[in-house]
Amino acid sequence: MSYRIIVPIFNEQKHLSQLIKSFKKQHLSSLILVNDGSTDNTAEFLAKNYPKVTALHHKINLGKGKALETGTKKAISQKADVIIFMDGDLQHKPTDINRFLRPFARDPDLKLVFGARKIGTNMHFSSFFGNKLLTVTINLLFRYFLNDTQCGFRAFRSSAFQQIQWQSSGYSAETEMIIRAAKNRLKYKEIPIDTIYLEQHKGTHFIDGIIIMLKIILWKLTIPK
Amino acid sequence: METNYTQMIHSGIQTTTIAFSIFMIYFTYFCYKRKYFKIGATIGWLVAFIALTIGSLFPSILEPFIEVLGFARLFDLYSILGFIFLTIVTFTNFLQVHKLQNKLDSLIQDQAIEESKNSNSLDG
Repeated sequence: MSYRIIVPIFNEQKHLSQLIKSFKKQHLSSLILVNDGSTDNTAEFLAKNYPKVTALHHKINLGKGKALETGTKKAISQKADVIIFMDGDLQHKPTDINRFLRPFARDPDLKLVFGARKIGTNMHFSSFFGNKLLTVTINLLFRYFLNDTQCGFRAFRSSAFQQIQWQSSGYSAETEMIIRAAKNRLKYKEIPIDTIYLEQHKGTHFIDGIIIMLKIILWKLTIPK
Repeated sequence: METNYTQMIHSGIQTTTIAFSIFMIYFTYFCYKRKYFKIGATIGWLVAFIALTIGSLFPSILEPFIEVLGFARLFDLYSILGFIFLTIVTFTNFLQVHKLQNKLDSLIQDQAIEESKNSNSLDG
């Protein structure tokens, strides 16, 4: 089973070496970095220090959703069977990658594997509360029961891409992906993961949470089954 | 009625509108000379601003419509027409920006994928 690991990056140059070194050699050839219009010389840094790592460069910042989509299209063009999304700020452990791949090997009907951050992870209270609110809303509205809808560490079969293909360009893309999967009743699994927060200010903010909540309601009404 | 028209002719609103529309006629012509607009867009905007100038100079032109459409004053008719025009322009702008955004997104994504094929990364 071939796979690709897609990591969207935006101004993460200071973490890049640590990020790339954290991948085992076996996974490194499957890594696709999507530089989403970084302004901190990420492109030059990668070309100079890691010329063998596959890197896609958006000339301007399009948002996380578009970066994930670009990476996915690249992975599909490389005939990947499974596509894994990870965040580029070192909060996810590459050592968990095999845990995401194993369920697909066991169950041919399985389409998605979602990471769920363990309770007690050092998540800020407001993020924890917002995450729970969004998760409960999705569970109730779409009857698709997950413990952590906002975790960026996830995997899916490339054959399911058309059914979950998101339109959102920003952080709400990951939520839209879940909702499209729910509307299509795609089989999924959730696995607990550890998370390390190096920078509290990065990722979704309160305003992103409000936007996602409004979009969830919109998607409930507009996305066809 | 005559008093109302006389007041309107001398009103500051009318003077401002005429000055604005004449300036916009010049500005439209300027945009055409600089090749910002093609001939179709230029004619469209010129017609709109000339109509505004004429409507401001001779407001009584639209008088027959007031009764037919049930407006109390000529100013109300102008206000409604203005709102309709602004709504159309705003909607058209939104549509164009949205279409451009989609094209730009696709262009940047395709370019990123294409350039990666030419790089010496592991996938070649």
